[in-house]
Amino acid sequence: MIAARILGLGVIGPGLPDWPAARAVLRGEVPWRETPVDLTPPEILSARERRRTSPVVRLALGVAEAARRDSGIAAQDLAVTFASSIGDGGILSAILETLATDEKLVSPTHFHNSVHNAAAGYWGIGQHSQRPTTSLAAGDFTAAAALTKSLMQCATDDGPVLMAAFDCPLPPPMDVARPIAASLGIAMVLAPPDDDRHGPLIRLVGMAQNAPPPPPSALVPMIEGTPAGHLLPLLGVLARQETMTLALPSAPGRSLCLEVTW
Amino acid sequence: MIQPLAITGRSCVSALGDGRAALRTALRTARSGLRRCTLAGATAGTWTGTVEGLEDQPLAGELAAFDCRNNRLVLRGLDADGFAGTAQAAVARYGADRVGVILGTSTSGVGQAENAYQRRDETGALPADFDFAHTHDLISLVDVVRHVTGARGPSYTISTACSSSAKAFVDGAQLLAAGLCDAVIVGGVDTLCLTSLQGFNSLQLLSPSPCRPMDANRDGISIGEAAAFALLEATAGSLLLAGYGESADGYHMSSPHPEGQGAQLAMRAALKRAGLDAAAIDYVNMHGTGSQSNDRAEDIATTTVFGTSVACSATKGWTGHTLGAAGAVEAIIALEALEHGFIPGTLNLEVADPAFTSRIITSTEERPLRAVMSNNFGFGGNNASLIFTRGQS
Repeated sequence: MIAARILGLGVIGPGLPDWPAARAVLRGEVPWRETPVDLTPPEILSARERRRTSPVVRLALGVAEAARRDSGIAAQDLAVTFASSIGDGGILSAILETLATDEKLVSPTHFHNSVHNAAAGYWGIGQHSQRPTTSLAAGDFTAAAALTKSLMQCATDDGPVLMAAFDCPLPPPMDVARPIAASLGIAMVLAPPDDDRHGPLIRLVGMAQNAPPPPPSALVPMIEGTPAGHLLPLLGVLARQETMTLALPSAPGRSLCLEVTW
Repeated sequence: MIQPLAITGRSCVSALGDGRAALRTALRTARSGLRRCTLAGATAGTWTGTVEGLEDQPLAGELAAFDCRNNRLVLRGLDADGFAGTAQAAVARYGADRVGVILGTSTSGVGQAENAYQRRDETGALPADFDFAHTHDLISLVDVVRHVTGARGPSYTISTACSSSAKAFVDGAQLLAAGLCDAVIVGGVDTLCLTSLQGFNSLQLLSPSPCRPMDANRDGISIGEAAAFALLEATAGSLLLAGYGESADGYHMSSPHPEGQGAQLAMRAALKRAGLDAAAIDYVNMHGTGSQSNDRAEDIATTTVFGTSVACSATKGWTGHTLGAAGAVEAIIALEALEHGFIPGTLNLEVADPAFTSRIITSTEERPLRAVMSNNFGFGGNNASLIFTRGQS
């Protein structure tokens, strides 16, 4: 049985500044309003490192730390899965612009920070943790891949895993080539099912027997337009404390089916 | 971890040629694949490990939209050593949903974006023929493999720089242990591109000559391109993945811990998971890039874990540093050593660094081996250590 207890959640997105605010929107208690995403420099880094972080790194570390704090588990006790379909689009675009010049003098800082696992590297340094991290990508299906990896690692390592899925829109002209509707990050801490700490259980099942009610229509562009957005319906089930199975797109014509119980 | 876990298929294409026989011949005859870099636009004066003929092999038919250098090399890798057929047979045997695909890469098809940026119009827009999703996207190489093999199980790309495709083996093992797959295609593909060449050049990490891992006068890396694949199954077999270990450095973004503390953690975790003492390892294939600080830290980490008697070598003098593919290429080298009974030497080593205490093998030796470790340390990032052993067929 591939299952895990959810011990912590984090959300950062437009109109969804944190999990409590997102929960209220997903429960229908407040309407969603498009407030800009506030990407504060991550507290876990030193002042000098903090200043140099890009929006994607701020999003990743911000949402991961929010979920970790929500779980109460120390960073040194968490294996980590970071998942982003693009990685650092801003730095990537800057490098591509430079490579189109005659001199092609790439900034060493840019290249250094362009690796897909840069955010995970900053996490380890900021948290003083040498626990393994993975940085993965699966295009539009990045969220399902992140959940698969995190659930299976929870089982095989018999320990808690911190998962964060995040993407920021690419700057022009790449934005047309790979549209991302908004900066959105969603993170959760997953622990083995027999963990004594309290939290809903999610389990991989063969088929989704039912489906959650449709999300607030204002959130649909985010759900369909960002890779991490695929997790918003699951967050809706968690917000409303429903017992439910739901499908998470995992490949063209295929879904992960998850059962949520309390 | 699940036992046994067998490698039931594998292939490798690199500057040394297509297929494992070509790889073995090069390793046994000290023939390097490094040549002066000829990639258009790259800063002159570096050596690279280039795969011949990719320029003349566009993808066609159903795969046409995927055409880019990286995906052409994916196909060469699938065609080598009958790997595509082996993978297709696994899909037929287990069912498509039970065969996963986990691959490593650092830059995927970024060359298409590099080219597109050079063809921006007067408004700065990219040409309409630039297809990000099928070429540049990090998942595109996985999509090509799924297309060719029919695999439809859990699939994603791992991109953690030098450790990417070693970590693919780890995730493959986890998928099998969790019962989510009956077979997993793992591996890695990376190709020469301006992003990597100019990027490493800007960090002043490229050697002006063929790289000399572990040499007293080593002065940088040589980049290579390669595709390497393996099929993992939870069955008995003659070659087994006995253990794996991972860690993050958690030290500094651009330099290694001086004693390679993260590397030590990964090696010890692999030994523990394999249930083996350090003395059981007959050969360690080092990450050994030719970088001054990284090779030093690795030497200290290796002798801290193993002492000074285990045979070690660094093989990037043959293939170059194949970045996202390095983990898989070097796993394949370790498996060749294990299966055929030889320890590859360390190419281009003239004077060993006098500060080093590892027992570095310089010329290839023929010797039966029982257990081999392959290490990939992304200093400043992620570390992965794999242990392979011989099993009953």
